[in-house]
Amino acid sequence: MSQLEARDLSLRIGGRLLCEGLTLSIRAGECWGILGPNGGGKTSLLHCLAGLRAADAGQVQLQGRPLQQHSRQHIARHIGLLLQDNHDPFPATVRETVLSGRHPHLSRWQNEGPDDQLRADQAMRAMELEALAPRMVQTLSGGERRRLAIATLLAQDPDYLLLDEPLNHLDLRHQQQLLSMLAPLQERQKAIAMVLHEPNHALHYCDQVLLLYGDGRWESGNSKKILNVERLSALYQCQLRESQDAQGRWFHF
Amino acid sequence: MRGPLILLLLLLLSLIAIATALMLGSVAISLDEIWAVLRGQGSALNTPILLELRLPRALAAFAVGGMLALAGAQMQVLLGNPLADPFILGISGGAAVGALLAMLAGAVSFGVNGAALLGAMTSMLLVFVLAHGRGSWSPTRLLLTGVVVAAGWGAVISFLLVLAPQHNLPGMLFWLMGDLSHARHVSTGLFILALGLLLALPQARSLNLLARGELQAAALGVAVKPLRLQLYLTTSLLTATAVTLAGSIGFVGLIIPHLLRLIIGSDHRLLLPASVLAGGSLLVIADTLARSLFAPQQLPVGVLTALIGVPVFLYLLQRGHTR
Repeated sequence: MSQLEARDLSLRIGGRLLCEGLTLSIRAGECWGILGPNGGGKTSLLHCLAGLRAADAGQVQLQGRPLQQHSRQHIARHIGLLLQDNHDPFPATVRETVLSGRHPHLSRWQNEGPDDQLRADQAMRAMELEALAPRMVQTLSGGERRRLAIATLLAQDPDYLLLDEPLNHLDLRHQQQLLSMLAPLQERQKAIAMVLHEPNHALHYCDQVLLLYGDGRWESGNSKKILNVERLSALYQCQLRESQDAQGRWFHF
Repeated sequence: MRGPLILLLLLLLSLIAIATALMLGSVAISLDEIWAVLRGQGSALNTPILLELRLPRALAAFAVGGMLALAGAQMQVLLGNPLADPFILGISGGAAVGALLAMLAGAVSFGVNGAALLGAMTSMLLVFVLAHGRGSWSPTRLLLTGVVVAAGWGAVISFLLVLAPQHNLPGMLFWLMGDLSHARHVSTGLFILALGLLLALPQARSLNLLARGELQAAALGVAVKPLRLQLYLTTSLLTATAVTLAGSIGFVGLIIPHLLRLIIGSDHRLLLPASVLAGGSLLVIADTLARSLFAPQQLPVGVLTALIGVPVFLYLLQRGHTR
């Protein structure tokens, strides 16, 4: 499997420069954490990597070709995106929603087959949603909806999982559960890039980090090396401290 | 097996509705006699009544109801709003202005229909371009633009009615009220209905995703822009044809898809064909009642669609989502 690459990428919103000349390659089996202040372009970057938003300069390449040269369906077979928020104005069941993750793998006239059902079942089991399968999405809590969105992404089974604040709305147990799912995914040669707000998660669960300062500047590299008090304090423009215990380093106020 | 069963039941409902429409009227005709006429062995009295009056009218009602429900189901996805109906973006207003202008210019039948279609397309294009404007496109913006343009058409319609010479007024008012008794081009209606369904069905699974938002749909591999354009064009074609055939008959396009979503869910692979059958049946039943309840006095069919639809709809809402 080849890599997902950003080449000399620039992003602007409302004329404001968010990042400039960003070059990055996400390889199979890697886990990236993306950190930065609010409005710093983290979500825009994920959308750009998934081909949902055009870059203002530079390009994103999948399998050595610019994203624009791939069909939407081809992109969705390889790149999956967990959106920051989901909304469901129309009634649908949990099971139907998870099954919709199989859409890019089906041809126009094809219906979901036994294999798709099996994958949906596995995804629901991984997110502890089996008991909720027949429920209407509208009746779910925020955290349950989040798990549903993650289960849909797991059913989609892309090579690159782009996660926008995956821990949003999740209780501590499910946060832990999600973070512990990352390593097995990496072992299956899946690549993960996730927007996080907790630098400790990036430090302990990601091998690479990307810091987006929100003014065009960015830094990337090995998370253990890049993440330190000076950089994080500058990134978030607030004073942070660092402690050490048996598990390693921790950042806190 | 649930899907085919539902469609089979609805098909049965459609056939019963059409059969009832053929039987009822100033001259009651039994099923045996209908069968005889269809085989070419009917009586001299029954044959013209059935083949020239009741059958074309029933089929026109079915086509119009089917088109409106199919357009409504797709419009709701396009606007991301389960309460949208086919007329919400001013298509019926544009069609009406086109038809009225043609009538003022002295056009008849084909000219009026053509002008109505042109008016509907103009309205769709106008709304689409204005909604795009500068910056990003959003369903909310499309909805607001459509509602405002529709209001504009309303003003133009009033203006034309005030200016119109006396002898044109009855025809114009008749067109505006919407009625099936003068529906012509039944085969065109059925053809457009079939075409609309054929265009929509291959997109049904993509519609399921678009219903969950454009970003989510795009992330799961739907080419949103072409799909949105197709939805826009097919809903406008369906609505324009329906309005051209029978004027603006309200409620079918809103209530049928919404009702079906509550009962059978939102899988468009099932919902779209079910909407066609249920919408067609509803309008056939409503039209039959409209012409026979107070015969020889005819009621506007829109009154009947509302009288049937409102209580059923409210009951289902009260019952809540029980699936």
